[in-house]
Amino acid sequence: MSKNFVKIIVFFILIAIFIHAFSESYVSHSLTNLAYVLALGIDVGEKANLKITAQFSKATAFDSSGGSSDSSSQIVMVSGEADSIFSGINLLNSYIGKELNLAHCNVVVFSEEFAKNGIGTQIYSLINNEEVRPSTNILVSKCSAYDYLNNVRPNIEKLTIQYFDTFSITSRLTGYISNLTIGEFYNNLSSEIKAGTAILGGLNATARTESSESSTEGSTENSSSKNDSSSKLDSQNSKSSSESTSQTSEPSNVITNPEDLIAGSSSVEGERGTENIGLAVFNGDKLCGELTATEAISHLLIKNKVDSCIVSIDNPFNSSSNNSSKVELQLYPTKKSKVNVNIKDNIPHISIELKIDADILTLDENIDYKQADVLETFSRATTEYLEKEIYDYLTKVSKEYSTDIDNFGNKALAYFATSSEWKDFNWSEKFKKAEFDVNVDVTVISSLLITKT
Amino acid sequence: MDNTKIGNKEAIALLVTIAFNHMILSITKSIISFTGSASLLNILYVGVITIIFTCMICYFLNKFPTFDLIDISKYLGGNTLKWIIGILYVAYFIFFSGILLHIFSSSLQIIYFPLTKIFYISLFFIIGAIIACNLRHNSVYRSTLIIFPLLIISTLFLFLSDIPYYEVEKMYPIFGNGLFTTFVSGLCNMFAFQGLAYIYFMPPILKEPTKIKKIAVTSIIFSCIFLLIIIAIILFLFAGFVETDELMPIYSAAKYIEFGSFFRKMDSLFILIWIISFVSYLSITLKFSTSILKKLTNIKNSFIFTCILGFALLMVSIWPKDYSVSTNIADIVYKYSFFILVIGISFLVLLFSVIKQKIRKWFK
Repeated sequence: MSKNFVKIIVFFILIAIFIHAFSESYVSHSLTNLAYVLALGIDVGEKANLKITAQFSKATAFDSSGGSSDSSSQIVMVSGEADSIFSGINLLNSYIGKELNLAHCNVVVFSEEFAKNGIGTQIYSLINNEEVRPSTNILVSKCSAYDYLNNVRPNIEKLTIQYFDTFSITSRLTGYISNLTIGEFYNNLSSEIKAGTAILGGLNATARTESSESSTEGSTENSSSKNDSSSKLDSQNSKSSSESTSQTSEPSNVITNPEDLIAGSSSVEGERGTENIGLAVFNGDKLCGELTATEAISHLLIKNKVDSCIVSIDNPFNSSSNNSSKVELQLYPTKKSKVNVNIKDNIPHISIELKIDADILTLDENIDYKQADVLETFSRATTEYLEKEIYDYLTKVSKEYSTDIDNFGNKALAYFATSSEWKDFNWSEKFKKAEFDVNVDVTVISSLLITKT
Repeated sequence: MDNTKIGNKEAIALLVTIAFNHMILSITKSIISFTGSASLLNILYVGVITIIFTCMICYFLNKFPTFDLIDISKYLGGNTLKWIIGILYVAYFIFFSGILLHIFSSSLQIIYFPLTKIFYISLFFIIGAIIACNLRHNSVYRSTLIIFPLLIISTLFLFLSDIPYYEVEKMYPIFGNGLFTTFVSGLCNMFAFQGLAYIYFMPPILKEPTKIKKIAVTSIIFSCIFLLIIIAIILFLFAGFVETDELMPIYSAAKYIEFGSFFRKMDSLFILIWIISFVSYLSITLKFSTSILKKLTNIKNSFIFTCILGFALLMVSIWPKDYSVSTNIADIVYKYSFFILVIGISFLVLLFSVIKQKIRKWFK
C-alpha cells in the first residue's frame, strides 16, 4: 500500500516538473503568439545593412464566406531596417507583438541591388533557422523587394500563398522560370562549384506605369506637405517605388520577343503587379547576370526541369521575304538530356544531347502539314534554332558569367580519383574555356487538329 | 517456458536498433567528413572486414556457450579482470550514451523546445528508459522488434522520397580523400557498427546461444545496409557536406520531403520514430549496464542499479558545455575508445580465454 502511494506521489511530482519545463516552449509555439510570414523581402537598407519586409495574410483572407473582395486589403506588409535578418525580424516582432514564424514562408525575395553584394550570409542564416523549409522559393526582383511583395496581389487565386504555389507549375509548363528553392541554392553555394540561380521577378507593365505615376505625384505632394507626419510612410514607399522604377525599364520600353524578355520588361498588364520571367545567375553568392526567357528554357531543357514549352522560330517556308513570319511550336522533351563531359588537354569538352517532340501551333496558309517533307523541314528548322539558342546560352554562362549553373562539374567528377586531384584541376577556371557540342533531335509530330490549310 | 530469454529476430532487431541510433546522431557525419565522396565504398569495405571480425568473435564466444564477456573475463583472470572489464564496459556504455543523449536532446531543443532546458529533455528520456528497463520479462528487448519495422520503413521512405533531389555523381571522386584514407585509416569507421560492443553480452539472454554467429552477422549486414542508405541520402543530397556541417543531417534530409502542397513538414513524423527508437536504445544500454553491475556485485535488486546508472547518464548528458565538446567526444574519443575496448581488449580476452581453455584440455 505504502509502495503504491510513493509511486503515485513520484508520478505527480514528475508530471509537475515536466509541465513546468515544457509549458514555456509550448506557449511560445502557440498559434496565438505566432504571426506566419508568407513571404520575406530583403533590400539594401538606408540606415542599416538591410531592410526586411514581411508579408502576411489577414485572418479573414482564409475565411471562405466573409472577407473583403479587395485582394490587396487581405495583405499586411511590415518592414524595418536592421543589420541582420534576425535582428530585423526581432524588430518586427516587437512591432507586431507576436513572434514572426517562417514555417509557412513560401518565398524569399532579394532585391537585385542587394543580391549584387552577396546573399551568402542571408542564405546560411535562413537555412540555419529550423522554421525555414528548404523548399522555400528564392527570387531576385528587378525592383525593390518591398515593391515586389507590395504588388503581389492575388487575382485568380484567393491568397498570395496560392500564387506562390504556382511557381512550380509555371516552371514545368512554360520554362520561363525555374522552381528554384533556397535548399537548392544553399547546396550549390556550399559545393565546390559555387554556382546558383534564382527566379527573376519584377513589376509588370501596369505596376510600372502606376509606380512611375506615383513617383511623379509623390514628389509634388512631398514638397507641399512636408510636415504632414501621416504622409511619411507614403513618401518612403514612393521613394522606394521611384528607386525601383529607375531599376526597371520604363513602361514604354517593353520587350516582346522571348530571346530578350526578362522580368520587369514585358507587356503584361493585370491587377497583380508582378511577373516572373527569366533567371538570376549567381557566381558564388553574388548576382552576376540574368537569363532571358529563351535562355531559361535552354537551361531547363538541359536540367530536365520542363515538361513543355513554346518556342517561336522563323517560318522555314517564308524565309525569303524580308519580314519573315514566325511559327510557334510546343516542345515536349521525350528523353532526359544526355550530358557527357570529357577532359582533353585540361579543357572540358561538354556534349549535350536532347530529344524533343514538337507540335506546330501557328499555321500558315497553303501548307499541307501531313506531308513528311513539310514536317521534316519544320523539324530541321527547330533543331537549328534550338542548337543555336542553347549554344549561345552555354557560351554566355561559361564565358561571360563564368559560372557552372548546369552543374556540369558534377559530371566531370568521375574523371578524378581523389578530391585533391579534383581541387587541383580548378573546375571554375577551366569551365571558362569549356567547349560545347549541342545535339538536338527535334521531331515535329503534327500540327494538332488542322492538317492542311 | 523462460520468458526472460529472447529469440533470434528480437536479438537482431536489438543490435540493429543500437547501430541505427548512432547512425542518425553522430556516426554518419563523422564518416562523410573523414572519407568524403568515398564513404559508400569505404562502408562496403569496412562492412566486409567487420563481418570477418564478427565471425571470429562468435567463434570464440561459441567456445563458452551461455557465457558473456564478464564470465569469460572471470574464467581468464579471476575477479580482478572481471571487475576491470565490467567497469570499463559500464563506463563505455553510460558515458557515450550520455553524450548521444546530449546531442539528441540538443537537437530536440533547437527543433521543438527552444525554451526548455536540456536537463529536462534528457530527464524525460531517462525516466522513460528506467521505467522500460524495469518492466518484467526483459520486455525492453522484445519491444525493439516492434520498433524495428518502423525504422526500416521510415528509412526506406526517406531514401525514396528524396530521390528527386539526388545527384548520384556526388559519389565521385571514387576514392574521396585518397586510397590511404579510404582503405587504411578509413578502417576506423568500423566504430559505426556499435552493435559489436553488445554482442559480447548477448549469449546469456539468447534462447539459442549457439546461433550467436547467425544473429551477429545478420545484424551487421542489416546495419551495413542502413548505413549505406543513410550515407547515400546525405551524400547525394547535400553538395558541400564537408564545408558545412549540420546538427542532424538526416533530419535536414527529412525536411526536403514534400508531396504537393498538402503533405509537408513530414520531418515531425521522423522525429517521433527516432524518439521512440532512442528511448529503446537508452533502455537497452541501461539494461546491459545493469546486468553487468549485477554480475559484478552479485546483488539481485536491479532497480537500484538502474536508477544509479540513469542518474549517471543524466549527469553525462548535461556535462558538455557546448555542442563542440559533445561532437568531439562522439567523433574522436568514441572512436578510440571503441577500438581500444571493443576491438582490442575484448578480443584479446576472448583469444586468451580460448587459449587457456585449449591448454587446460591438453593438460587433462
